[in-house]
Amino acid sequence: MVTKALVATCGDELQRLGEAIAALAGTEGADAATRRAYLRLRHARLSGVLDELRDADQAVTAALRRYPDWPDLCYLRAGADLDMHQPDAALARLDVEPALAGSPAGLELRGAALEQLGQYPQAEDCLARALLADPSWQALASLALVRTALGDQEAADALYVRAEDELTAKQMSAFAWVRAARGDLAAAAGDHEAAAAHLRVAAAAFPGYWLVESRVARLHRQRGRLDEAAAVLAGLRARTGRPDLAEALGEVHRERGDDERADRWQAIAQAEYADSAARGEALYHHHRGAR
Amino acid sequence: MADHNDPNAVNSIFSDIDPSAADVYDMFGFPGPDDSQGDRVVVALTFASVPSTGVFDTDMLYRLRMYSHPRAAVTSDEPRDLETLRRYIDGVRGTYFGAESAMEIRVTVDERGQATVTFHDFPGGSFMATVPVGEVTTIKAADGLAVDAFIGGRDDAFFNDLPGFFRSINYAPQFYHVPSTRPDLRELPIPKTLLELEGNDLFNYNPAVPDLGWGIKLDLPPGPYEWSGNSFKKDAAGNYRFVYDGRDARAGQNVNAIILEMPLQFITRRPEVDRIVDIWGESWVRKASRKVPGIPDHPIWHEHPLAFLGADYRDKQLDGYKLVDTVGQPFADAGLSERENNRQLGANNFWLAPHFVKRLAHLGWGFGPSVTALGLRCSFDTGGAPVPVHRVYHSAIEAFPRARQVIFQRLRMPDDSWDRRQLGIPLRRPFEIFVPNVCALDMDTTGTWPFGRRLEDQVANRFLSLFLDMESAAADGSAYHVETLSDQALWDAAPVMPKTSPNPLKNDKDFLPHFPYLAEPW
Repeated sequence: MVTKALVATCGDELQRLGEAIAALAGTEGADAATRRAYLRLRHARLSGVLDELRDADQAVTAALRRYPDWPDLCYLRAGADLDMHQPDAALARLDVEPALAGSPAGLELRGAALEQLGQYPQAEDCLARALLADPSWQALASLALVRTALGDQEAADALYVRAEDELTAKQMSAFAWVRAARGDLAAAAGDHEAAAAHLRVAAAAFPGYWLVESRVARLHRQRGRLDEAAAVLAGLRARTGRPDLAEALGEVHRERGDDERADRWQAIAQAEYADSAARGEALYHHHRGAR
Repeated sequence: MADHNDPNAVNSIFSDIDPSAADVYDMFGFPGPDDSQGDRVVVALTFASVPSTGVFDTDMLYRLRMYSHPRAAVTSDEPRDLETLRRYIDGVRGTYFGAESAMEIRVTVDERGQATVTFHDFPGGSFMATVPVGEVTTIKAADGLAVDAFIGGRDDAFFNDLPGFFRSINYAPQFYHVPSTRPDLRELPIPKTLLELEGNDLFNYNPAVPDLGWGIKLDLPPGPYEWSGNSFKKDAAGNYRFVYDGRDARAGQNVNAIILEMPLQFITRRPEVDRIVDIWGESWVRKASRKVPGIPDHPIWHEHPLAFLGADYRDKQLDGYKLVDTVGQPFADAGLSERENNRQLGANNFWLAPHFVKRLAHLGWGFGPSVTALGLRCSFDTGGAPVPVHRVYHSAIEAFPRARQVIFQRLRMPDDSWDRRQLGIPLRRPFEIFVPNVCALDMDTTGTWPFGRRLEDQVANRFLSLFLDMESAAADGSAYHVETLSDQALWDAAPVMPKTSPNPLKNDKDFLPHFPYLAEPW
């Protein structure tokens, strides 16, 4: 018996989020502001559209400015700091909210921030404490990232499997995220077949999710399927406007021997990285530094 | 690629509070009215009507679990101490109660509106049936016995001033938007109370926002939240103000329900001996991994179609779901377990027993002085406290002496009609009612709470009556019972406004005299 329950696509979810945001128009209060900011952030994260992420980031800041004492907004701000690759800012935010910082949600955020900073033992300790209080899929997946960074891929995959087991049919985007992460792990270990299988499941679980598609493109490239990689990346770049996808597209064209297109996309990426830096963003510092 | 690779990117902390089909509301169990062919058992599990009334969430699996056994022998002279409580719990855990070996009925519904009902480990065997949602159907078992089934939308049979109850325990989410990241701010550190406290501005009736808690919520103001007063609030005439107003919070609202009526002989081959039927319900939601298209969730179905009735298959089926919510006794969840997810243990709530002692003592420090202020005799030892006290216990040993009578007193019934065969059935005590967390239907009674749960039972008032002293008599010889708080004469004489039963005395729609008993949906 094949499951008959319908799978919602990423597009369905984006539409639902859009309707929810519209329904909140004109509502007042800290809770409504939190909900609105959260929905915008979630919409931006799922769509992958960079400008949406920037707008949502500003919306969180504006809401927090208006309701500075509302803990959920502090939590959102710290989460958005991680989106914008500003783990120090996230940690500083948690430091001034001790009740939030000590909660399982706060510990998860701190663990993720420490992981971004490369402070793996501290991140591990933090996430272990979060898991003791609440064995959530987020904490398990964050811990898997730490284990991956430390080179223990087997332990990482086992943690991802546990994270998957915590997720229900009402959390298909999260399931797709975890499966894509498992695909990354397998690809990094050179097991392209396993990686492809994981990504097929991720794509079927939550069709249209840019993050999964970007992993599919990366795997195509690793397997030498450059035309397919280029096609997927071109579509994603057009949808999201992300400079990192432009850079990847340039690299794929370089490998295809199409230097003209490669140069054009690399130039676009570098200009957009510079623009991001000029905005004061930390999002692409590591990309600029790598060149 | 800069993919902001942390799981926070798909975190849904703020989106998990929508109404959910996993939110089970009530478990009813009572004898069927027609016993001309032998005793019949009616069970009804109600839950949130999501996605809509009569339309079921196809990711859900509902479990009705049943276990039949003889009525336990009761000794009346055991000491009222924690050792007795421990022996009782060890006894029910280890001997007559068998959650692990219980019979069960599982219900899932597909997109076509067809419900699959599987019966496991009944005396006549295991079998399955497919029934249409929204229709009364008769399911024939292999042994010829028939089970009436209705799976669909009904009027909510729950009639209760839920905002009043939440006001009494200062449960903020009913009245305020509480930050999702601050679960510690849900039940605020203010004494529980049945009467408004002077200065308890967060929870006292606010004429400027009369519908606060009745669909209207405000942002939770910043603390501190502790109560610094020292008296009950009184009006100019010297009357207390009730935290309840007796309205039905679920009036005009529907539920989805699984309602079954079956011969007792279907549940046990010793119906003359096994007079108690323990009933409890669970909701399970499909795991994400089992929802992915193209991945068969039960490939064995194709290969071995009869295997689905075996225990091995059942475990595999449940492996594909996560337990979300349980229901057995009313108020075991909202009143005694504080709605915590890690306390959703269903019948196997034995390890919560020390918590119940601490929680009952905590509630007693709040409700006890309110009972006394109303001129009623109280079962909780308040030590003469004139106003409620916010006291949290960390030790059952410390809490127990105050709550001893609340835990051990036999809950009197208003008359003997409940003992319908006049067998002299012993009255039940709170510790027997809440551990294990099941609706323990006694087939020799009418099934009225706590001997089951009938639709018309005002269980919220009966729960509050735990804090009445049912062991001593008034000067006229009368004694309190589980229906005392539903007596309008009591409220007419009490120094309190409004003069109403805490909770409504009947449902917003009349129940049906025949199957499926719950009223048609709105």
